[in-house]
Amino acid sequence: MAKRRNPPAPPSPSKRAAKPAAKSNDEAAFVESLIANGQAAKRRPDGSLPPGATHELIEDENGEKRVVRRRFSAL
Amino acid sequence: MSINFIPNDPTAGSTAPALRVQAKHANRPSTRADFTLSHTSTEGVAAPGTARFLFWQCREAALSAVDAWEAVAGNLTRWQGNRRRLALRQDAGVDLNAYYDRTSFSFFHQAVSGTTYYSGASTDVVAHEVGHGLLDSIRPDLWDAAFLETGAFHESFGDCMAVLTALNDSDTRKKLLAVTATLKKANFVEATAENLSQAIRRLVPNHNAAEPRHAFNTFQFQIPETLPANGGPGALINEVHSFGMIFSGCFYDLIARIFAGQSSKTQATLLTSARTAATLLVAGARTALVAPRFFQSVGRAMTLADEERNAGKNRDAIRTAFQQHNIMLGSNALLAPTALLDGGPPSLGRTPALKPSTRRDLARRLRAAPGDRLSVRPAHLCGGRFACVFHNRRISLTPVHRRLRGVSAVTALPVLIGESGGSPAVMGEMPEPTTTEREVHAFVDSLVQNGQIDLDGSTPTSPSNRAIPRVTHRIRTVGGQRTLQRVRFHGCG
Repeated sequence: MAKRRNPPAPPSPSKRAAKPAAKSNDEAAFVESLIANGQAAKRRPDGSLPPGATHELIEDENGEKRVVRRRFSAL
Repeated sequence: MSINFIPNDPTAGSTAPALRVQAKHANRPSTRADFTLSHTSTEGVAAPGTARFLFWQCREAALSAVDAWEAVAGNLTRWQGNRRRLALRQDAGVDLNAYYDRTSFSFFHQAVSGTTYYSGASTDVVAHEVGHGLLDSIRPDLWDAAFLETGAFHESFGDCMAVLTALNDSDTRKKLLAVTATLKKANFVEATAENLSQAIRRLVPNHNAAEPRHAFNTFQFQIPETLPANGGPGALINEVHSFGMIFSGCFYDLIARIFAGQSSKTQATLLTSARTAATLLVAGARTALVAPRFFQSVGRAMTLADEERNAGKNRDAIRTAFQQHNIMLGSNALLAPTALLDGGPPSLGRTPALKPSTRRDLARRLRAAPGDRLSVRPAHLCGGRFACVFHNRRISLTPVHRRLRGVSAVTALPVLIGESGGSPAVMGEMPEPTTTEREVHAFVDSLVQNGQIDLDGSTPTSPSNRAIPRVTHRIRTVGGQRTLQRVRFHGCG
């Protein structure tokens, strides 16, 4: 199994706005899966994550999005 | 004093061990990692649905999971981050889920159609969450690894811990063997979190989690992003819990295969088999290198652990268990998909062809220079059809020797292209440009050192070469570029 990562690839223009910054195709695909399944989400006003979310969606001052794991879930 | 305990899951069915009265687990020794309990109740036999039952049930399940771990991994002395205690919250509010967040294991309740479901009442669910914590204690780097397969492995590990916690219970083993003597049948041990799935089914009948996850399955590996993001109950989808079933399937099949090899099939040898597989799982989890294809990485690490610990006794069982789920660990990994490419399905017939977008993506990954040629040829390997793409890469030899300034070598690098989930995929290894360049430079340097290159078209470079001509390569002009080319092989060193 190759241990190296794929070279960075800019997402297609149609996806660029929605897809958070990621390092490789596999990483970007993982982030898309998290978002599609409601597992990456912004914190709610009370500071908690929505039910089912395992990753916090964070947007920096440049509008760059990234996900950070906060917990694992059973489902 | 005793407590009531459900050893598996409240909805595991009539073949599973029923609610039973048993002595509570002793408190853990002060030298070991432990749980901080909350909303404690006095010891006693309590009915399901009561706070007292939930407290003792959740505590018992968590300690049973740690027991199953310690039987194969040694004493647990610290959780991740050198923490000695993590909170065990048997009812942290309303939700149909459970969480591990490095400070606590949290379980919830929710009323659905007149029934209140408690995730902390399922030994499956508690063992799954504790499994996250146990894996995190030995592989904290997996916490935020950014590949779906590493997340899916974490989920699978939780499910594997639920299976192992169940099999660590003698009553469960006896009941399981009464259901299936070979383990090759759907059963209450390989199914996880039936109670929570029932709640979800009542709430959202078409939800993927409306069906319990199963370790006894025939799911086949494909690159996860080729799967749909959503699917009906129990379908394999591009989601960590669902995709984790592929690895759980490998692990469960490994237990079954090791058990099949036992001279007697008893509850005792079932325990031995489960612990053998679990020992390899933990060893593999400890050492597997993080990679996009992490399931394969863990499987290979398990094989190496078996070589080291058992002289390879279980090598075939591991290889076959993974191969049954399309994860290749041996030489056939050459034909396993490793990276998805852009574009539609490749044509893999007698005259294979790649879509233009696939070619562009491949050229980018190979760091092909403008004008580099990618030629496609058919490849038939092990009964499968593939496209073998050759990248003719020109590598400057200027860094090798001053007399090779302006000279380059052309090397044809093959990449095997197949499909995964209907999309084009690189099979096996992809040539790595820096490594290729270094290898070519090292080879040409050895040619120079051995006088095998006719550098100026006339004079051998050393006295020995004058005595025994050794030239194998010459510099020729090809397409307007000075290119190193082999002109012959020679028979003596």
